[in-house]
Amino acid sequence: MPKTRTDLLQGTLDLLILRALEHEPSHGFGVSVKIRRFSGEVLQVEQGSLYPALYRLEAEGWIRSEWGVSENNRKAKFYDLTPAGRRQLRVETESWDRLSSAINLVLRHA
Amino acid sequence: MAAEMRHHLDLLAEELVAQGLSPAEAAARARREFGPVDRIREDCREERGFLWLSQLGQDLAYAGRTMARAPGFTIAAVLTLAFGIGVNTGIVSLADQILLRQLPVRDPGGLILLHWGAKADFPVPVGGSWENDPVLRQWTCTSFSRSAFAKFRARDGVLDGLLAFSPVPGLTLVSGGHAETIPLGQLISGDGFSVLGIRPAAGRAIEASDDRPEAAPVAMISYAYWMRRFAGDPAVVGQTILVNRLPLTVIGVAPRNFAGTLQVGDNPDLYFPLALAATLSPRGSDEKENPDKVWWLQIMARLKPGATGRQAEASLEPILEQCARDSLAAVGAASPPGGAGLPRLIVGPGGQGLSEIRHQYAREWEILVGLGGTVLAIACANLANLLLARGVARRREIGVRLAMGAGRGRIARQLFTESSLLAALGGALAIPFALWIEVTLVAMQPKLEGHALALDPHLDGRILLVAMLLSMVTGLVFGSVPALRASRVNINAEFQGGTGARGGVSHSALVRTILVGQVALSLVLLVGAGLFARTLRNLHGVDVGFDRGNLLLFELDPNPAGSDFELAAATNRRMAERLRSLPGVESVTFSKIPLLANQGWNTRLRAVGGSRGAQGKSAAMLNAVGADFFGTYRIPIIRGRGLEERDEGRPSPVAVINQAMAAAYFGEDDPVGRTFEVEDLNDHPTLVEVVGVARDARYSAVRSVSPATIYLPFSASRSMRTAAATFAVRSAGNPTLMSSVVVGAGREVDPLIPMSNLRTEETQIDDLSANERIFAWLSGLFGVLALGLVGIGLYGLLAYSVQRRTGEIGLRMALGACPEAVVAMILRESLLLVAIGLGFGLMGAWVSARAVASLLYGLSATDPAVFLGGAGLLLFIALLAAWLPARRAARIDPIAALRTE
Repeated sequence: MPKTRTDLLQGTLDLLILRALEHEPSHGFGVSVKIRRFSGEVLQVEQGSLYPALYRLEAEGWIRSEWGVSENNRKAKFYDLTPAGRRQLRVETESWDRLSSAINLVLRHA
Repeated sequence: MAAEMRHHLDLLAEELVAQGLSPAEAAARARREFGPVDRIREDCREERGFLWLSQLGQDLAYAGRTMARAPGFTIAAVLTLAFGIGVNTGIVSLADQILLRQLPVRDPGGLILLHWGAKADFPVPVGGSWENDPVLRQWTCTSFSRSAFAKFRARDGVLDGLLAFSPVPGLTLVSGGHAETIPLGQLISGDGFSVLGIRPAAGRAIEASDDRPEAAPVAMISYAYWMRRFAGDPAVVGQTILVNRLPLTVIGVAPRNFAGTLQVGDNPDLYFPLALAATLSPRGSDEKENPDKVWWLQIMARLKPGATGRQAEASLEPILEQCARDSLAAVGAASPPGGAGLPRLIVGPGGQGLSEIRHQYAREWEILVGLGGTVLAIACANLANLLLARGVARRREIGVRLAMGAGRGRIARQLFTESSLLAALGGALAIPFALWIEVTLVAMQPKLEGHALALDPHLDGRILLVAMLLSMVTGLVFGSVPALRASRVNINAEFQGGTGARGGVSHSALVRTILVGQVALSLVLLVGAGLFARTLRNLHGVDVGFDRGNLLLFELDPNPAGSDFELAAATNRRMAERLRSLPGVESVTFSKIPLLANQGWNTRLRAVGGSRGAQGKSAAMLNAVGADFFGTYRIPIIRGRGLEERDEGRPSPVAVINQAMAAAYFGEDDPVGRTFEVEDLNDHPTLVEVVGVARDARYSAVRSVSPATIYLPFSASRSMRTAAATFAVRSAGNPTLMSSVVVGAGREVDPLIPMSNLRTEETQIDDLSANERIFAWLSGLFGVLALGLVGIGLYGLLAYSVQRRTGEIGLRMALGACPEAVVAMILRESLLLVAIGLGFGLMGAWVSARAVASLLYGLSATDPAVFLGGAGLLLFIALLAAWLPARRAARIDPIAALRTE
């Protein structure tokens, strides 16, 4: 995947993942399903982006992982937000709000 | 991670099945949708930050495979490195032991050693060694009187404890009915071991309570002796041994690495409290009556924290002055009114013990380290050349990798890894080389007791690391040159048959520079080898004034210090008689000082009734000899007669003097029948009558001219209190074959008197030039190796050059050049390189030769024959290396060459 597109979307992807994990822990597949559903089937996250992002977030210390048993009794790696991650989610949400409002203003301005 | 992905895949497949696909189709679709698992995993790993580790693993594996595919290169490179690193490590490890090693005591940096120097003559008897201090321009000494020690101790102040010590040579130890000679022991003051701060390996250390006249006599033994003689048996503590017929209790064993505080290489086997000095040491019994009379004790002290040597000097200086005056009074000499001419105290670092010999050896070891450094430079140069050549050969491979998408950084990193692996392998293999050179150097050291440095061949890890680091840096630098150039490689050109007429110009320049450097270094080594080899030959050919062949020598101490001299001397005579009766023995004699053994005994002289000569100006060497001395050593008597039995025990001694003495003191006149006064024979000046003149013979060194020598009858040495002598047995045949017979006969005379230090005169003289031999051998070995490397390197360069220039040569020949011209062209190339190298090399050799000039003998440091010989050898190698490539160049078929272009 060319680096440039990822760069633009990288920050947004992080935000989405953090949001997806906000209320309950989930494994990789679950996160991609959640994002798809919440976005009304618009945003389909590629595995090639999802997993590196998960590992990066873990390296940053915003999520943590744990092996557990999934709904169908399968071994799966579950991710969960850390306190730092919750703070980061708040920060990024605010920043996204600011950014998107500003873009909207520019687009709607006559 | 794999499990995680699998789980995701399964769920994806389930979802698709739920949408109506068959399981097989679902699985396939899922996998397609998921994407390239491996790349995703790699991206994840990258995010996680451990990517570099797995890449390193890949690099190492690849490096290993490529090296295995080019065994010639790998072996050459690894061996070169191993030799360079190993030799250096070995030499520097040994040099460190001699030059830098501190005493294995608590805080050696806090110890100081006391010296004194005097501008004028100090007429008190002084034992111990003198050293010429170039900074202060005077002779300094480390010996003090017993009362000086007591007074220093009493003065509190900047010192946290003092210790006094002295070596005591030539002891006879009897233990378990078996007698042996202990070459060296050490006297030490009572609390000396606690001032040093060491813990015994067994038993207890000598304490202050042992150092009293009424205390029971005790001794400590060294760890090495404990292992050698008692096999580490702890039961030795508490045993009684007889030393010089004095019963002593062994109270403990010194720690393992501790070898006394004496000169480097002097390792005492026994330690005694100072109180036993009178019984064990001739000096000790000298000063028994008056502790001011003899200066013989070495003194070290520990500074209080924060105190400096200067402060100690200032604090103790007045005490020393007073002690000097007391001593002058004790010997009946005048005391100068001012302070002028009195000994001045000098404080030096004591962390290494006594240091006179170390300073003497420093020179030699610096040269050895220099040799080692040269070898390392040559090894690195060779490695560089090998890597460069290899880099050129791999351009195609690198071109392919670039075409397949590898980043330049990745390729560079991989080449770095290869170089590092090479350096690491070389370093590992260097260890046996290092040990080999250490063992060889130690084996080449002088062998005789008292001369040999007890060196421990072991490796200093730090030095190995530094040498490895150095070669790793070389490997990195020269491994990266092809990498840097490779990353700029024009892929197209490589694939189209990479040897264009202009290919690799700058590479060649680098290789040539390195070769020039190698030539220069080789010349330095060859010149060194030549100079030392000729020095050795010159030394061997010196006429020493006596017949050095077929002489067997040994030491005998018939009666330890303090006992009756006459009885002991009689034992010497009895021994000589017994030995004379042996078959195969031509003659036997004994003398106080063996010839050419680095020992000496000198005295000042006076004209009869005249004034005292200044120190060093009117002086002569002494020797006290037994019957048949001149006959056994074959020193011709030129005038008068030799010494005979009837000359022993005369109240006014007679002497035979040598030609140098005769010329210096009696000029043209016949000295026979004349008299002169000797100052330092007894307590008072002694009148000596000349009965004969002997031909000049060397005294203690082969190099220096025969000094003025006075040969006295053996009884004249009675002032030394010991009748210890060196016997010389002239045999009809090979002297070494006689040794067991001689020893057997000696045992018959008296089994309790051991004969020690059996050797031949030839071996003893050879030992004097051990250093020159080491240098000659080492520089010769390295020089030959360097020569070989230069030859191979030159050959490689020329072969490559010919191959590269095939087209050009073909063109020339097609245009009419004859083969001879082509050959001449190649030869010119080779000779030009070597000539430039010789230019630098001659400069370098000239500088280094001047640096070692003091070690040479019989030739100047800029001896033209040696320089020309070295240069000639290198030119010969240049021609030899050029021969094959030149021949190949001459045989080039112009048509074929032009076709490949």
